[in-house]
Amino acid sequence: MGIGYTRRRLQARATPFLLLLPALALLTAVAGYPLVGAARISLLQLRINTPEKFVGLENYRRLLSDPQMLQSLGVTTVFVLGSVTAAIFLAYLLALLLYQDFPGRRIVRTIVLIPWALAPVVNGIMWKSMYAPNFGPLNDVLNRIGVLSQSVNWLIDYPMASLILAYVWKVLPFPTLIILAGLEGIPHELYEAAEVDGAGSLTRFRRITLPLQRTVTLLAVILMLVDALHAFAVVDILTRGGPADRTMVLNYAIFRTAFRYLDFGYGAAMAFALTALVLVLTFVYLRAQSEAALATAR
Amino acid sequence: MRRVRRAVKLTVIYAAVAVVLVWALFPILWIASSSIRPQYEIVATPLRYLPQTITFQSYRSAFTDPAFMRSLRNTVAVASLTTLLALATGALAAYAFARFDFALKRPLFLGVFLIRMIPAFTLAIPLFVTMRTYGLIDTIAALVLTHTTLVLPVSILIMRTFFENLPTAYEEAAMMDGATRLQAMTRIVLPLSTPALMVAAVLSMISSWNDYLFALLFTLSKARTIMVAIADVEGAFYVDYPLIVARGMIALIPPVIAALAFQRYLVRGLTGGALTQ
Repeated sequence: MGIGYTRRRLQARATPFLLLLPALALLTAVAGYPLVGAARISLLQLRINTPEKFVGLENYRRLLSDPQMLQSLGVTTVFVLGSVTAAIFLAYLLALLLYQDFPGRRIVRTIVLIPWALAPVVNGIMWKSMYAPNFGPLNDVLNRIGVLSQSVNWLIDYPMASLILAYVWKVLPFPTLIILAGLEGIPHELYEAAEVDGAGSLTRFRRITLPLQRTVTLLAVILMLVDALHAFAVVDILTRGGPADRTMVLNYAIFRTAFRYLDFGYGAAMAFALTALVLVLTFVYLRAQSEAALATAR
Repeated sequence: MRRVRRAVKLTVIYAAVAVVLVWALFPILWIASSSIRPQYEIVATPLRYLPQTITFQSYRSAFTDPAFMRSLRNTVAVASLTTLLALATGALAAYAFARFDFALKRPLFLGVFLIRMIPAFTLAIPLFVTMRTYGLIDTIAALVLTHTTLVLPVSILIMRTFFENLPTAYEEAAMMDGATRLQAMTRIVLPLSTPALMVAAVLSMISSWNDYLFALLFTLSKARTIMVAIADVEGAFYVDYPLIVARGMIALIPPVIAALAFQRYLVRGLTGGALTQ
């Protein structure tokens, strides 16, 4: 490093801030400022075409005593836990399959990625067509193989299960990729050594794969939890929260309150409740990630 | 004995692969096949999986519907502008994070990361109120700015990781020869970073193209995007089933092709964003 270089570095003290300026300006205007705005709105009574009124913590008080809110929290818990459990379980099966060495593996890995690229709206339209009571393939196939004897109106009779299936179908590639990357990061020698010591494949999976995959699995779980909490389009297309609010997840309840009932103040308070939930998960994620970084550094 | 075991193993694997392929492809093939037949065939019993009569009438209707075509043009415009803006601003920011030490670096980076996690409605409610006040509702610009902000954190993360792994020697040599920082970055670092730029571009394009929530809230008719257009399926008198799925197919194809074309890079970018920090 010459003296000229050092001097240039000193002169360049402002450079990083200039480089950051456009991105930070955007992030501040479209995310930072609204975040403050949302906090403000959550303290107001703000409805379309009526003057705004400061009501303090009234919206939050209402949140805690709102029976619909409690019901929505229950629905959200079922949707999120159901989706994440199913997605992680299936992702493990899929990742273990794609981890195997077989001719054609690359093309299968590519095809499996396709649902991830689909828009949630297209996914919703597609599953609506799959679930159609009279002309849908799901009923048809189940009738033909004798599981059902008559057609089921999936979105009315089993709205939550139908929603979870449609949602999991689309997001599955993401946890699969994460878990697969984790599997491929485990050194082969470990398996070989265990095999020499006489460990069967099940023992190797339980004693080597699962323990080493702990952090990777945790990361996948948290990313999926956050994603499931944000599900919106698929709900809007398939059930609109119905029937009778049985699929009214929190995110959709916020949409209804703010943009259908045009009650922005209360909607903002609900959105903050969801934000708090997501932030807690984010901090768990960050801690897990620094743990993972430490583990790879070792 | 080993060969027999290998053969058994492969049989099991291919059986599982068959199940996986049906799972991943059947729903898509189903709407693809529904989109190229006449309405009467879809409502006929028993249900047929392959079209008896192939017709592209639904695609023709979609491509000749001025409102749908406008939504398609809007989506192309929003997605391309978002991608360009996210790449330009994101590359500069990522370069700053990768190559400089400066005050507030860690909190700023954490802030960028946290923005990715904020629930959409927390931003959408105040943005909607503000945009309504300033007459920005139903403009392409409103959507581009929102989408860019949403995709920026991931773009920055991907490009920063890539820049960090790039040796600094080339830039230093260029700057010794009198190039400025910006020149060193645009002429040397960026051309070497094509894979990262591609991943960031494809991810930005797909997120913008597929967005429904903000497009639904911030547009009415003028700036309406394809996702809002195809979600609006209730016809006045009857539901034109093939048309609905044909429009869905049109909305599906660009992001899927983009994802497949850049599949190898994408996998690294997606998991890299989650697994390395």
